[in-house]
Amino acid sequence: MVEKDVMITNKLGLHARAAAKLVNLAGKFHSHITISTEQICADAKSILGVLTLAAGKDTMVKIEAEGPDEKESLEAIIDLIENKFGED
Amino acid sequence: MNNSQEKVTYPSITVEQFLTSVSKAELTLLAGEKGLHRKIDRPRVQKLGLIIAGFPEFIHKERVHLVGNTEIAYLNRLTPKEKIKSLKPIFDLEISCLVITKGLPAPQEMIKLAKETDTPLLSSPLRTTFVIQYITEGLQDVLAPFTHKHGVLVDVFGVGVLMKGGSSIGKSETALDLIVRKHRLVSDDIIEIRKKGEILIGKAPDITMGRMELRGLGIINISELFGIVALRDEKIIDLIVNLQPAEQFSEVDRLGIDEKYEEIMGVKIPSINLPVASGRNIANLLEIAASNLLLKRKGKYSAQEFVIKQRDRLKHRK
Repeated sequence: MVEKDVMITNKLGLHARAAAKLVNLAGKFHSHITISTEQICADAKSILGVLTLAAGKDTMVKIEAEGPDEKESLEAIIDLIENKFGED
Repeated sequence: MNNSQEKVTYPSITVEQFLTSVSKAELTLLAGEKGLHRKIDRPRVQKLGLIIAGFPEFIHKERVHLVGNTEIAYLNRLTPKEKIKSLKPIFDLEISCLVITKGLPAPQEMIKLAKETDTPLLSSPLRTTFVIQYITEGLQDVLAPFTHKHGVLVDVFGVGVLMKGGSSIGKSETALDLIVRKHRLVSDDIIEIRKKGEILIGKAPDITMGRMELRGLGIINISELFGIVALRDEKIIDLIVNLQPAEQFSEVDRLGIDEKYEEIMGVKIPSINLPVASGRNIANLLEIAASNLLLKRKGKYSAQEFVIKQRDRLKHRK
């Protein structure tokens, strides 16, 4: 299992379209991937789960991945978040 | 899968929140306003009883403390100095709060100590029995530990079925099949589960309530599409069904005589592993699984009965 903390830095936070990008990216990997805030741990492949996090700008989230492609999946998701989901 | 990730939150409330959240107990504040920020994190109450008679060994400071008829009558027989001596050790403990029941007048010394130590002193017009009942019930509700699980919770024939399994195995699609058959959705994708006593109650997080995601269709609103009867606010979880791709099964349970369980927050829930393959109608299977659980609760174990019958047959063959 690999994990990393990352800050949500885009202006709108983890809004619907950003969450959809994240879920689609996670869905390309075989590993079990989760994204969690202090209170909630959601499956990174589930759109409603990710939206429930309601992670606004400057929220710290933890990404955890476990499976055959855990390293690549973790890197890809961290990249997406650090690149502000390709926004602003 | 991933039980290690169970993230349990143990809520606590301030005395101020307690005053409003347990409205049935009709609590009002008499003194000690500055202590309203004190925390309550256990749902149990303690009646002061012998503690005020100089036997404080068993006081649990984190509980809500009650003073009823007996205690007030006892205190009223003491001199002011004795009252202080009896009550001061309790107030010095920084207990969360003290509730006087039956609207009894608080002794002056008690009010004075509450003010001095910033301990909230509350009053309820109701009798002690009811105050204990309402406070315990109310606190059990707001202080229930909770966690979140990935899955879908559906009420099938009154049985709370929690479907789990990797993403895109077809949980939401199965739930949709069940809704079409007049069963009720509690939550899709993520379930907020709280533990009350030894039962688990699941509900949808406010933000996703009544919503479902279907691949290719996106997020849909179940109550608008199917009406209010298709939804249920919350449901006790009775059965866990793990959906898994058939090819991942090394050994499928072919008899169903071994009872399996899974734990959530330390509560054991009966569970079954269901292989998903084309030609297997999962909604059908879940209806049967739910009905079978109802049968078992009535003491009817179909699989075991069959095994016994077959064993008898073998004996007679000899």
